[in-house]
Amino acid sequence: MNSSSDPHMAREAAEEFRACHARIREEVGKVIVGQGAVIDAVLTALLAGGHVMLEGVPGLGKTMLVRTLGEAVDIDFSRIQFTPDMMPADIQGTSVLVEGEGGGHELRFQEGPLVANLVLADEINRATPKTQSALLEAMQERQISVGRRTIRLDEPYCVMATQNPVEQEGTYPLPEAQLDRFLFKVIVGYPEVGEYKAILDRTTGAEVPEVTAVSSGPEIIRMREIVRSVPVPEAVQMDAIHLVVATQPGSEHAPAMVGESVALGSSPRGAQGLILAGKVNALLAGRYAVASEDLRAAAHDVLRHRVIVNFHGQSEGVTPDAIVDAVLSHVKPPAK
Amino acid sequence: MSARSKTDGAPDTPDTIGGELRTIAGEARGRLRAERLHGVLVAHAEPAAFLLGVPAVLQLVSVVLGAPLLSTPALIAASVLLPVLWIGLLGTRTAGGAIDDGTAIAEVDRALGLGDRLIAAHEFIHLPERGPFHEAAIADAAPAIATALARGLPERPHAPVGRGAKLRALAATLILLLVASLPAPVDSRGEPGEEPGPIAELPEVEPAGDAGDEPSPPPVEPNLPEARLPRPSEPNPAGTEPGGARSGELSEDVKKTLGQTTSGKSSAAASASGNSQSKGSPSNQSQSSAESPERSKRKPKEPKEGTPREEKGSPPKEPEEMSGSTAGRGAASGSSKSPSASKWASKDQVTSDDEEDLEEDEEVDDEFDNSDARGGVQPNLRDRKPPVNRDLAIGFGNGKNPDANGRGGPSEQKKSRGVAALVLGVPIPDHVKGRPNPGKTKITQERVEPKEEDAPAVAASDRGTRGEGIGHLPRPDLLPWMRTMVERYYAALRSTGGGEPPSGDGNTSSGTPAGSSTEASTER
Repeated sequence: MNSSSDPHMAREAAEEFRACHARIREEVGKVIVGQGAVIDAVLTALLAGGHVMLEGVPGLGKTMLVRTLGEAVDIDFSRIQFTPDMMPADIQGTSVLVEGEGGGHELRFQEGPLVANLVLADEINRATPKTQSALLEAMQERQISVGRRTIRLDEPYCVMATQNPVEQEGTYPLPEAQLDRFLFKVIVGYPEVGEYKAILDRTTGAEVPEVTAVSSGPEIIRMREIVRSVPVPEAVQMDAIHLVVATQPGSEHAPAMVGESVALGSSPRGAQGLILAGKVNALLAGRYAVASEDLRAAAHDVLRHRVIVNFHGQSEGVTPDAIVDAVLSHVKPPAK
Repeated sequence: MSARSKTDGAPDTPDTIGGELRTIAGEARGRLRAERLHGVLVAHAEPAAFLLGVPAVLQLVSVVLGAPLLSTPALIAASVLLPVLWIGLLGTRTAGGAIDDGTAIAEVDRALGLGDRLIAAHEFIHLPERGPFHEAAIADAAPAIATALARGLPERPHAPVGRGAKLRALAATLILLLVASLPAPVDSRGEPGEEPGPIAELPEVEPAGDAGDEPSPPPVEPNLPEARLPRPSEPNPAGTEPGGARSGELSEDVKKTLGQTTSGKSSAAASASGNSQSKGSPSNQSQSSAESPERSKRKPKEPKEGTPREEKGSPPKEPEEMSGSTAGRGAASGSSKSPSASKWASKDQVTSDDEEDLEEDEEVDDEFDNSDARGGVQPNLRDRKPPVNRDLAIGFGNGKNPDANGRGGPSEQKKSRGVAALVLGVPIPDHVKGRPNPGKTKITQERVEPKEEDAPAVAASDRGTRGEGIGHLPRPDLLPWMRTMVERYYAALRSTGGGEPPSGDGNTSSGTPAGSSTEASTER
């Protein structure tokens, strides 16, 4: 056994991961009251290297959560408020005529807000599909192509988008290709009754909670490396595959509800998301290998936006979460 | 083993963990096999219960048919063996596969809720190259292994056998008991089904000396075979009817009668053959009494088959002489009691007297036989309601048309359609009375004073000569007779001295001699 396979290294790395996660979570918790599952999901996506879509009605703290996260982690943060008249150049950047040092004028590329580490795409469904598509390359390839220029985006790179599920007038629902690039789609619900007092105290009092940076970009990159090094047993991998395949209508693993109510199932990106989220969950649970329960804990967030309910399902009131529930109860973890 | 190492505090090596995992897998394997077998039993309990009753049902059917298939021990054996073989075969197919270590360990892991630690350790321990997380996962599995060794695969509640399977098994058992408790079946010919009857066996198996054990041998009639022959269908309960056969005397008699019956056959077989003979003999009373209900059913059918058209009539058939003068004319030409004179047809005859109708009907029926067309009158006309008049009118004869709304559009559905509407005699006032309203004509006359209008004169000017040709003007060639006619015309014109052209057409001029006209044309 060589030194690289010393289990103590893994234990230290896992301990470091848990400590980093706890620090960031605590700092975010200074501002955001409650919403523990949402904070955990956002942190999981950040540490797993994915993007997050936060969906909820206005006033639930979606934007504040992402902004606080940007403050808690010392990374470049930018916010884009999407509007219908926004053009791709507005977020990617464009060449502008600037005055040179010698008095002349020259065209210089001015980077848009997409060039950052943590991008808050607020109300992303208000932008036109043309502008939404400008995010595709940045989210998947971690680069932006403007004219002949290709800009590599610095790691860590994370897009956190918000959208309002109720007010749909004048919005452009994200296409499946765009939705598939989000690791998680997190539903932000109303806070608990007991949390309202703390929310009011913090937001209406004179004392404003201060958020300090408790982590940094390089540390986030290091955490992502730790996450990627967590091994996955074959049985657990098969479980992830079966879960994803079970969302596809016509599959032998799919429950009857999927065949009746699903128009489009998850892509292999869903399995990738399950495994990555499972690795984070395994580290947070103190394990050094992914278990099936780690996958299944993240299944709703990973799969709900990758399952497209057909017309029959919509008429029956079937939600993607109900389909994921059916899949989870139908697919048993394989023994081997 | 592992628990001891944990208490000692000595770290587990991968080899130790591997051995412990194998131990866990070995212990779990036996229980998993039992569970799978039970699962197979539960899953296939219903078909097995069904199979349990199949031989009994078959036996019951065969007994009813008079040819029993199995003896009672064979029936019981078949009833037990069939479901056992079924479950055994399926169990071998579904649960007979080998359970490997991974499967057994995974079952233990998930049954004890160990977070897949055993699965991960079992997989990682066989990797040729392990990273730090692999080693950490293997080491992390040590407490889980200790737990698994201490607790083992917990006994999980078995799925109970379905109620349907229980009920089926109970029913099958009852049928089996019922069939097994039935006496040895003897068919109507007196021939036992599978086992040869006592009479058949006695002459060969039982010695005559054993007959002394019988308590009361019945008196044997000297002509026993002959006495039995006329009554083969007598009820023959087993052991009672051939009671005489058990005695030695009877056996002797049977031996004597062997020559009288068919060669080599037992008396029962002889009686059976007698039965078959008696079937053919019409004077056999026993046979006729046995089949009398069947014949009583069949006999009335024979004359019916001969006259199938009469089956449609009313069951209490009257003789044809009852129809009086209509006899021989067919069904429709009879009186109103005739079957073809249906109610709706008589309903239609509401506008004329009954006597006239009858006469007319007779004439029509004579011509057109007993057709079911009812003289072209459709059944939907039975109410004789006239079709709706689409009269635009404003008036309806002398009175007001109740159905006319003045718009001429459809009101009610027409009662007569199709072929029925074409048949004469059906009143279809489908034409429009009167004439369409031409509408009002308004003539307006205005007196307008004439106004002077400017009409500037256009100065005449020379148009000049035509610079270009006028193009092709089609000139249809005259036919020869046309040409001749024109020549005659002008010849006649010249002959009159250039005065009035001759009146009339060419025909008038055609009165001139043909030779003169030819000459005129020649002169020209």
